[in-house]
Amino acid sequence: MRRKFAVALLLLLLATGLQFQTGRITGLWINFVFSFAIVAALSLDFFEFLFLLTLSIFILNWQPILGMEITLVAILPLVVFFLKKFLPWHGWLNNLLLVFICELFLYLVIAPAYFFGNAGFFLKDVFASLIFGAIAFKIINK
Amino acid sequence: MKKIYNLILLVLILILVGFIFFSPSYGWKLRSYFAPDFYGGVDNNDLVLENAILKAELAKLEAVKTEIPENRAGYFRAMVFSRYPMNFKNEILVDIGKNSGVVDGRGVLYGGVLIGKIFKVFDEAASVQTVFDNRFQTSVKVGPFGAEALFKGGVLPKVILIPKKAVVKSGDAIYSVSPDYPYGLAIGEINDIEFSGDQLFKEATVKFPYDPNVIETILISKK
Repeated sequence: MRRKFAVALLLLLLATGLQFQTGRITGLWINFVFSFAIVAALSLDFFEFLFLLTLSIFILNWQPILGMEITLVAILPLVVFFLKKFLPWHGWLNNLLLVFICELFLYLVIAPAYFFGNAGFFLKDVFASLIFGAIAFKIINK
Repeated sequence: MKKIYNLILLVLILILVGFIFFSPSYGWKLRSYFAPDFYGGVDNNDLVLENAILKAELAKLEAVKTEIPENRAGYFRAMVFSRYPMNFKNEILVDIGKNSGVVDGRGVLYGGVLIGKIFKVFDEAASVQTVFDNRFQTSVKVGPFGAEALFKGGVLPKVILIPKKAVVKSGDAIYSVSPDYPYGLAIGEINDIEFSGDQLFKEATVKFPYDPNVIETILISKK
């Protein structure tokens, strides 16, 4: 097992713990796992990334069928994985931009009314996701 | 070596995909290790809940005074399996569904307080849309004079469309009068009251007698 992959696996477990604990304590669910999936798409080989993405979906899926949001959480990092070779900027900048864009896309597609009615929650979510994403990217690519 | 490594990952991916589609409950169990209940369960809330229910009961009896059929026996008991893990909705998944007779739209109670409604029913599970979901709304009455209003769910739920002249004060009980649920179920208490933007009605924020994040057992109305 490669070091990068082992570190990424630990980070996924950390992201999961953070997402569920903050959600449960504060009622604000921050998409740490989704943010991690974007970082994994930019940092790992295809099969390693795909394994961690599938594991993320396995943990995040909360009902017997895959909802629209969970499907998007699966698809967006895949899109990022295939687009990454066309991105012109440095890896860390790609990471920040893509976490932001994917979060925004998720909110706008899944719950536009929620997004416009609770912009503060979106900003808190995206801010925490960006910080986590930046740290995870730095650690994986060290 | 690289090929074998990738092959092992591929097999693991296929196993996980199998779990996702055919046995998602293993994922829910795994999640529970990441968010254990460290609040000490429902017991801590019992007195607050009881207080809210009694207030609603009192308000209901004072407002209506005629005899109201009382039926608290017709409920299914269910355990919470998992929670919606993002901000967009506020739903929980419980462990009984179509096979146990659960039907779409039924009221869901926690400690006697209405916390939501059945939103989607699966064979062995059901999804509950809670009062903290943006899409939830129900007609309610407020306080001992029974002022009619609309409860609007959300991150910060509100009671809106309270008539301007209605006598409503902080601490008044809010109870459901929707035909979808048993009459007079407590929802919460009035917190801060203000006039609506158009000055035609009053509206109020809501104080809840429970912490939605610690709910583990609920009751589902049978009819």
